[in-house]
Amino acid sequence: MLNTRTRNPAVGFFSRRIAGLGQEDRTRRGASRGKLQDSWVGAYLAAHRWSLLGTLSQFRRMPYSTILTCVALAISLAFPAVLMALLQNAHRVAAQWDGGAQISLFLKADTSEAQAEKLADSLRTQRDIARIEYISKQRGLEEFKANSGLGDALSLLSDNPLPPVLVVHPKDTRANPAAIEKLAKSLQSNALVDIAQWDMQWLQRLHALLSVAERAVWVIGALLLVAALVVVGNTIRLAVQNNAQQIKVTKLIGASDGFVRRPFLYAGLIYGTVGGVLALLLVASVLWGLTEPVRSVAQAYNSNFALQGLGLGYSAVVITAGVTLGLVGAWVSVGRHLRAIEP
Amino acid sequence: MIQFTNVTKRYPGGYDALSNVSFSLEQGEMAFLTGHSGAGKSTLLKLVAAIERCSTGQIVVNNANLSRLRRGRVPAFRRELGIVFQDHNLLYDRSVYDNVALPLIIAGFRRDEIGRRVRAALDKVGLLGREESLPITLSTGEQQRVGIARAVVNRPAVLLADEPTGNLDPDLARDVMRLFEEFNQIGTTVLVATHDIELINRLGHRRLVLKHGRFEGDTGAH
Repeated sequence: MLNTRTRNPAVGFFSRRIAGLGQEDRTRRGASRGKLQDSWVGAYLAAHRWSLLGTLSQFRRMPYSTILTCVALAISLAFPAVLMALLQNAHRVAAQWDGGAQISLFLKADTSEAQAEKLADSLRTQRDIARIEYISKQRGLEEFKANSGLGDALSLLSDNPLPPVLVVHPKDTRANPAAIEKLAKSLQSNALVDIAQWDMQWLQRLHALLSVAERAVWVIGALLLVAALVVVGNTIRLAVQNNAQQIKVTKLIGASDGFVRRPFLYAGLIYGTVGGVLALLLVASVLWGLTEPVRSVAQAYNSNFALQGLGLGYSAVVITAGVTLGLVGAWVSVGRHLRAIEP
Repeated sequence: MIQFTNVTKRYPGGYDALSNVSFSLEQGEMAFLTGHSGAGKSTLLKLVAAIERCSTGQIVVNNANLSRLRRGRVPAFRRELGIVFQDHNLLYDRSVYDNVALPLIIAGFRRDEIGRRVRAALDKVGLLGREESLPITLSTGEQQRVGIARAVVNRPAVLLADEPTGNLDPDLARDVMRLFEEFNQIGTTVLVATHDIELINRLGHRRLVLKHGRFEGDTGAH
């Protein structure tokens, strides 16, 4: 076959042309190389196409490992993400309650109306106070009469027993209950104030609990991410070992470590991306499953609270975490195992 | 082009695969490396391709002193070589085209240039039209020719072949050798390890003979 081919005049002509090219190439190697590589985009694409094909063939050869790795990654990402989403919702609930945070200043009973007004005015200028509501002795009595149902009994009293009250609405209540406490304590020290009451301790405890839960989510998340890293690393290790022969051949032909590494990094990248997207789907379906029960609980409390999803920011975090895990897992694993495979 | 000076290769355990070998092959020369099996032919080729490092002595290939070649420079060095293996060493999950294109892809050639050169190389070994085949569907001889096309597609300065005709019938073996001669005629330095004495005798060319790791004879030395 070879003989007939080389005897074919057309082929012979072509061969001579190749031969000529070869000669020219050897004598002007540097120059002609440069010319051939001037379109680095084309060369870059050719090399990456090759690497991607390698990745895909790697997936084809180990489909179960591929799927399992993606699923393991997805679950490791989804679990902390679901917890984080629930925490976010808990924060929203707490924030609704925070909105009602206020400090009641019960002034001393002998405070005159003018003194009370003056204090209110001076407090209004304070930066951490949004609004002051002044409830005079008289108005307090009227409201009490109207709301308590004890109106008739109260009218029997000769004197108004209620103190004047200033209701302080702090700014920025949701940010930080500690700030409210500090404000209340400073108000308490005023000579006119008898008692400063802020019924916020339970809210404070809730916030403390939420921050413990948040810390727990981060720890669980970190542990799961380490697990995901190990899973990715192990899959890549298997892929490297399965490809030992190909790696040897490629190295013999003059491939750099970077070239040999690239299909595996692609694999890590794909694991990470697919795992991240799967994780978001998982999170969405879990939250969707919780929507109805949460709504009925909210309704029982006369609230129209509805569960919210992860949001764009955290979704981006999940995807980024997936991609990073995939890449880092692949990088570390390939780095460790590639060196062992030399022709 | 290839220069060995007092080269010894000692494997762990004290076995000397090569001892005190010296020879030199000029640019554009073609030579056969012969000897009984276990004489050190493969070891010598591995030393030339920087697959193994020599224990003592000095090896210069293509102006590179291999004892001083850093690990990171080995890939670039190998890109200047073409190596034909006895067991082909093809990538069996890639098409014939991709196999032959690999050296060009590694070297960073443009895609259209790759296509042109791959087709030229496949045409040269008589496999044009089989680009899309998987190597496994080819006969041993055809696989060997894919390996040759891959070795020469980058127009290497040095072509090494380790028992390239070991698995081929005499006709195919002659064709393969003729191919090597053609590449040699366009200026490639060719070193072929083989124990096919009959074929060597017929073809002539310089002959380097190894025996138990020692240099036994050199016909046509400079």
